[in-house]
Amino acid sequence: MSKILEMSKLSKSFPLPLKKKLEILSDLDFSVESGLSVSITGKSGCGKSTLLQIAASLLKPTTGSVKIDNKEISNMSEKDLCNLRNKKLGFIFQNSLLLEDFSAIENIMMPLLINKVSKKNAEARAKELIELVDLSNRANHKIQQLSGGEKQRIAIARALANSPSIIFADEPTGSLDEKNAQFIEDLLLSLVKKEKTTLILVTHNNNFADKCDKKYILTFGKIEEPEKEELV
Amino acid sequence: MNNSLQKMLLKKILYTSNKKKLRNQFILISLIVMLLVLSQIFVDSMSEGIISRYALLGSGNIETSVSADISSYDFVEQADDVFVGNALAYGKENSQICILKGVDDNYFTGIRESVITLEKTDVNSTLDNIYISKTLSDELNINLGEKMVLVSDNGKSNIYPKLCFVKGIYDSGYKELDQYLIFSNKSLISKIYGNNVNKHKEIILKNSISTDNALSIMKDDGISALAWYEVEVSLYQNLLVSTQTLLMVFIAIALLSGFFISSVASDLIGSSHKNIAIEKLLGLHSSKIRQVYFIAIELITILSILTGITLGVLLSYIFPIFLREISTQSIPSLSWYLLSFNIKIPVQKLLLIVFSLLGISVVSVFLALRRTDKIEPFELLYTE
Ligand SMILES: Nc1ncnc2c1ncn2[C@@H]1O[C@H](COP(=O)(O)OP(=O)(O)OP(=O)(O)O)[C@@H](O)[C@H]1O
Ligand SMILES: [Mg+2]
Repeated sequence: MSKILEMSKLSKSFPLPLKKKLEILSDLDFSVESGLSVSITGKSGCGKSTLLQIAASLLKPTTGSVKIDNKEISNMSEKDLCNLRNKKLGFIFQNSLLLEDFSAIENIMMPLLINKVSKKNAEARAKELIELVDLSNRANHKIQQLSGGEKQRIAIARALANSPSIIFADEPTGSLDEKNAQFIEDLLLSLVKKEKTTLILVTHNNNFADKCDKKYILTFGKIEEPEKEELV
Repeated sequence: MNNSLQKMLLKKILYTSNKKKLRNQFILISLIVMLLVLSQIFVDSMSEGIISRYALLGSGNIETSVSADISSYDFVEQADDVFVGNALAYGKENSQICILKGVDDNYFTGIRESVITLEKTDVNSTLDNIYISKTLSDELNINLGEKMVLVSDNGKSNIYPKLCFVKGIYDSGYKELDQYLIFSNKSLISKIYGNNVNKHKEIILKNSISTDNALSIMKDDGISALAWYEVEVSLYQNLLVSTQTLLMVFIAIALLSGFFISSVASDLIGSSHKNIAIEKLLGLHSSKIRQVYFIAIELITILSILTGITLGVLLSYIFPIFLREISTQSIPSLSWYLLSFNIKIPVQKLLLIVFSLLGISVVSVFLALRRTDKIEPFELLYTE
């Protein structure tokens, strides 16, 4: 299977006062095969979110290379990065990051419209997606009127809009109660399978992590595959 | 970016959380433009009014010699031969140096009649008749139908007092101009000054021709003539300097207001920080985001400018009426100014003012919007 994401010799450090550095990731190699769902767990503060942001083109690594679909992203122009994020990547975060002034359906349409899809087609696709997350009856509601779980469902639908190659999810169920979290977990996993999208998931929740095709742990700046749970 | 996205984003900027900010911007810019337009129209119309009063009572639009043959010019509205001299006018308690202007009976007809109010008494007198201004009548405390003494102020001829009869009191609406101006018939001037009388011809032009054009036609025909602004040099310079200074002040205010709009833009970007970061996360290029904010802000700016111009022009027709009203009722010192004049819209100056505002707003808003480039989507992950 082809590699959709390849990171090699990656390191990331943040500057600290007094010319010190905080090294979060060091000489890390990590790759993900297309179509799989992959989870990354690890202690709080170990750099999971940092790793995900670097992989997702949102943060530049200090050194090393990141390739998505065999293209190096660390030296891409802003225009190419915008294109990449719009067409190839989807994002779901703990805070669902929806546009508050827009309705649920408009939020889902947004990536499509940015991708120059006509309004009519964008609307049709958004309707299809909002049905998949079972929120057709909330289509025209403003974001403030939605519950946390509903917001995450809209965020999932939005992430899928342009049928991206990879969806990056950072604690997507972090702020939800157990029952809602379960529902979102299953929905997300089933939808990425259905749409044949790669999922890279960062979570604290081991049950959720176990449901993925592959599971990794980030410790001391390196990524490891736990031996016991290697096969699911 | 397709059009429907642009429209959608624009609509959100205009109709949602920013509504109040943009509405305030709209109101403020409208009011500023309204005041600037009103002031500019007022200043220009008033100085035009002053010029036309001077032309009517002072020197004409063009002054030439009595012997000049102007009968062939169809641009002449009215031409009058006048005799001019100085005289000391004695009132009941005080006296005043005045200009004594000898004119024919038909001087106060036609266009002058329509602008200048003239009150005459039916009482006749064998004395020389004179017309004094309302201003002088108040100052010297001489009323219609009363007698007053003029003493010629000319070193060459005999100095002797002349008792005259105040046959009429006129009001030009502009004290500065008529305060020292007394009209009489030509014979009185001849009597006082003899052969040394200062004579010239005052020409009032039709509206269809400019003073400069008429002047050059006359000069081409070998007629020596002076424009009003060559006769009244200091007045002309004063008017020119004050109208130009005011225009500069108005442009400066317009520039400041245009610059202020960029702070509205910064403010808008600040409060839309999260939305912009999300839009960037979804792959919208920051130049497109800037474009939408730019359109939104300049749309409001243009609308407020248009509103301001409309209100300013409308008000300029009402304002002088209002001023005249308060000058007679509560602020008498206003009557020193010319308050009755035709409204003239100085299109070029108004355009200069509003384009200064628009131009500086376009540049400064464009620069302010560069802030959007610095907004990075990853910042979002650390909010809340
Ligand atoms: N911009 C930054 N400047 C300095 N330090 C940073 C910055 N961003 C993150 N860090 C530090 O890097 C470390 C890793 O942060 P990161 O958010 O990746 O952790 P995490 O594994 O996602 O933790 P959690 O599970 O709590 O979300 C933390 O110690 C954090 O304080
Ligand atoms: Mg994290």
